[in-house]
Amino acid sequence: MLTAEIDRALSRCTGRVLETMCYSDPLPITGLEEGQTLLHAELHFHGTYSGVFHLDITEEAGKSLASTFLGSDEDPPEEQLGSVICELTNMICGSMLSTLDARADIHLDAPTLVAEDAPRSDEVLSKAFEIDNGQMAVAIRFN
Amino acid sequence: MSYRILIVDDSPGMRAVLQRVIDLSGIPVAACLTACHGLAALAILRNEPVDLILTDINMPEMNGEDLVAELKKDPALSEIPVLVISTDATSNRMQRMLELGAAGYVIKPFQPETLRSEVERVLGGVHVNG
Amino acid sequence: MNTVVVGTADCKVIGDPDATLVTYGLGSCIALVMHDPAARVAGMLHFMLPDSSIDKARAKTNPRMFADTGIPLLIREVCERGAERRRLNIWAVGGAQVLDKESCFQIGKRNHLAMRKILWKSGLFVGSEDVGGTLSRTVRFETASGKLTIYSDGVQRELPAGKMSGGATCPTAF
Repeated sequence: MLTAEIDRALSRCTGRVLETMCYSDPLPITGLEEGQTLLHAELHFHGTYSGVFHLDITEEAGKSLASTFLGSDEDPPEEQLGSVICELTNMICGSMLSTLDARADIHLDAPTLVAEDAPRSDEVLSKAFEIDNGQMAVAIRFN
Repeated sequence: MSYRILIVDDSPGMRAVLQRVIDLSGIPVAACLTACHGLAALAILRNEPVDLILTDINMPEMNGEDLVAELKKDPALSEIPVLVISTDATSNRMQRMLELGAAGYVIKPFQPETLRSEVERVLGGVHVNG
Repeated sequence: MNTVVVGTADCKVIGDPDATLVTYGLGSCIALVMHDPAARVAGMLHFMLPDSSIDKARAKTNPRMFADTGIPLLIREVCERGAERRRLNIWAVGGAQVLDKESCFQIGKRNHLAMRKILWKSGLFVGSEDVGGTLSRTVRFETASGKLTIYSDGVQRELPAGKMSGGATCPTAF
């Protein structure tokens, strides 16, 4: 797969998931600003393609997306917040892999929230976005 | 008539959204049951009547594909319509699920109106409240 | 037949079963129409912008200008007139990108997203939409028949009340 294809798919699928499930229009930026409190989710995938997908999001933006996802005006309880961030990770990654190869056979592990200092390879393709109340980034590494 | 619906998904957030769409749809619902994987779903189905199953595919313990296969083997459960709701939009997976007997396939992300329409279609053009 | 004109940043709710609601020149603005055929109540909101936080003072004097203040107002007013939420047919029309294609503001798209967010949080579904594109639209809604007609680029078409299925009932292009 070409880097340009993966790059386009990262943007398109992130946009599609956030618009459809959270009514949010992400605007591309060069990178996340330093010093922000972030939530991190990670998902491993196997099959025709294997690798890992990351999602990082500022806490306030995460709360805002999660409350919209759930159809609420209130900030979600912490457990629901984590669940929604993981589900968005699942949707963006799944959507992306299906877009890149409609004939692939791929299994996605359950996404999990991970600590800030969880090990992560530098060899990832990533995109960052400005969204309501904060920022988020997605990244993928193929084995 | 009101319907008993079973939602099977390992994501609590997703279960909440599916339940909200059902609640708001106007479809008369007697009960909305939930399970976090295929084995838990089977345990419910062997004890409770259910009119429609909404299921994810990627789940621990027993995934959606194995759940549908198990349902179709059991004469007591094989007629319950199953609507698959998954991020997996690959042609192989969709075809496999429909060949196993799924009544429909909704790709995540989805608009709530799309899900409501599919639920109504699978329930056979159910008369909604109002 | 009584024609009630809905202006820009305006909202009208009527209980006259013979009246027609009309609004003109929908560019990036959106017309949101709600109709309860049993109660014979109809409302139309023509809003301009998605988010009132950019101008709170203006939102106080005219909440109908913004999606986040106008749509809850429309819902409240139709219900106060006797409509029931579970019976509402809802249409959305407009949200075009009428400036050049490279316009970075994308007001039409942002209006559409804001509207859908508010309706989802309010527990309401849009039945039919005709949104996006680049052309201006005029909308006419007849309370007696429940018929909504769109006029755009010299062409007239009816948008039936429906259960939307992924936007398949109408063109949506952002």
